[in-house]
Amino acid sequence: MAKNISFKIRYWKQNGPKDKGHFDEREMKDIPDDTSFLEMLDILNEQLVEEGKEPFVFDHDCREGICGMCSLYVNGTPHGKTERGATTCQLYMRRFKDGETITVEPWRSAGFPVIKDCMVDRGAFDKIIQAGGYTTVRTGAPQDANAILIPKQDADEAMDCASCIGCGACVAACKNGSAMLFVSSKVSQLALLPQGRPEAAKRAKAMVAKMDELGFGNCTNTRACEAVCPKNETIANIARLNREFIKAKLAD
Amino acid sequence: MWLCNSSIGKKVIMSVTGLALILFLTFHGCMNVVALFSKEAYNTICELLGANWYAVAATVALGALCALHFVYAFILTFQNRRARGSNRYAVTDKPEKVEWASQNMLVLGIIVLLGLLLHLYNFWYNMMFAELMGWEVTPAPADGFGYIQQTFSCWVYVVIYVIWLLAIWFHLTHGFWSAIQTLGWSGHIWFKRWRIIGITYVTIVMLMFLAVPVMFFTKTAPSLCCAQQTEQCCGMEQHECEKACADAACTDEACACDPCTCDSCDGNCKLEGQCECGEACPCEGPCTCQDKKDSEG
Repeated sequence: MAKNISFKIRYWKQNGPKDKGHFDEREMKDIPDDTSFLEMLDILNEQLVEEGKEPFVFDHDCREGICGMCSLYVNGTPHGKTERGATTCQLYMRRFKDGETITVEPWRSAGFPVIKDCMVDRGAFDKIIQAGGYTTVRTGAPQDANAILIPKQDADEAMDCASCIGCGACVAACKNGSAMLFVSSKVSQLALLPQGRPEAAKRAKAMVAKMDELGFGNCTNTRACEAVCPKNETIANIARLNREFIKAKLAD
Repeated sequence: MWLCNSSIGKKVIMSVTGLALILFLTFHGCMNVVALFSKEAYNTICELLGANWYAVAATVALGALCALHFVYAFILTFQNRRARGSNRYAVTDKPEKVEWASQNMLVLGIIVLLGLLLHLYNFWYNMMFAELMGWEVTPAPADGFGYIQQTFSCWVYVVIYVIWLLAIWFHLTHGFWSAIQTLGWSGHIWFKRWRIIGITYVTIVMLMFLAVPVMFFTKTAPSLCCAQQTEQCCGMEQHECEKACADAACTDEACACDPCTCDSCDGNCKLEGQCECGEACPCEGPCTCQDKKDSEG
């Protein structure tokens, strides 16, 4: 049975990257607890629009937990305290208590400048992918399915790495603003497969160089990233990236 | 040069220097344990590692390792703070699996550095450095055992050293596996193994270090007995030595009190708290023969 809860929401308002920003507060009354967090924000925005005020800006797209667009730092945790392996859109109001104060902040990292309110520019991730997160494929006649043999375990692990949706929760959680979990997942998904091997060394070097250039921090292995990753990426990927990178540099 | 330019390269420097320092701590800890058992053996090591060219060269190399580790720690932390941005979260909820040490490595490192400076002043400055400069110091530069006794007779130093060792322990519980992770020698399974290996290893090394200040302060180090009773019992088996020490009522602990003053008892209070003549003994405990000697002298 759904019940209704009332709570206070504190949400971050900021006009662009240069603005100082502040919290706005609002009492939310009788919200059904089977409402999703983003639906609750829709209700908030309807109220704001009706009052002639500016709506609260936040990123969202598929609302199915697979696109990686939603990016809210809820009560001190990226994506909020969902069941492990879920993004903000899969966070439901039943996870909150009646009368609670809910604080909503944007991803805070120099690599992710605020566009407005809680919408941040994660274009840096796209630039890292452009630097080498691909394979150069010559298209031609279709290959036989088993022309390249790939052990099931490797295929599974590559798939796990590929499930990173690039939401940026790892950077948001990291005290060093490091993007290593994202970069390592994107390097790993290709490094684990024979199709990715020919360019593995070049890829690791190019993506790490781009990551450094864009001002992300240095990983200190605190494991905050894997604790909050909605797709359960692990720091085993980071070890693999370190291995690939060091090997590539030593081979130069 | 990728070691200085890239983020992973800089961390490789941190991990390689860190692992080298752990190796050094292992040697240092093993040498310390020698001091618990034999004064002669320990001072032989001190002499060996005095102002000889190889020991000086190793010290310079060690200093360079430390300097690299500290300098890169500050460079990396500075970059990380900049990457974090100027806006801080209003509310943060640290996940349970994040170790406290992992987020406080620089703070722990600074405590370790301060402790290190004190430690160098307590020992290295009087030992190798004094010998290099040709200074006259007491105890003699090669009498490492004497410096241990001197330093850890003071409880303040013992407390500082225990705090220092605790900080190193915290620093290394994270540092050990983190260094290996940075070198890429880790994965789903080896991560767990390295963590357990690391915690076990650094705990053993740190216990070796901890034993010295604690056992010298409480005077429970087996070597202390021999040090006091050199002529009497060196060369004896350990248990024989302990027995000899127990038998000889006189210990080095000077009973800092005036012995009995009445003529009849010759400055000797045999009974606990009472002079032979029946007056109360000014000493708190039973007087030792040290007091008697003093009074005779």
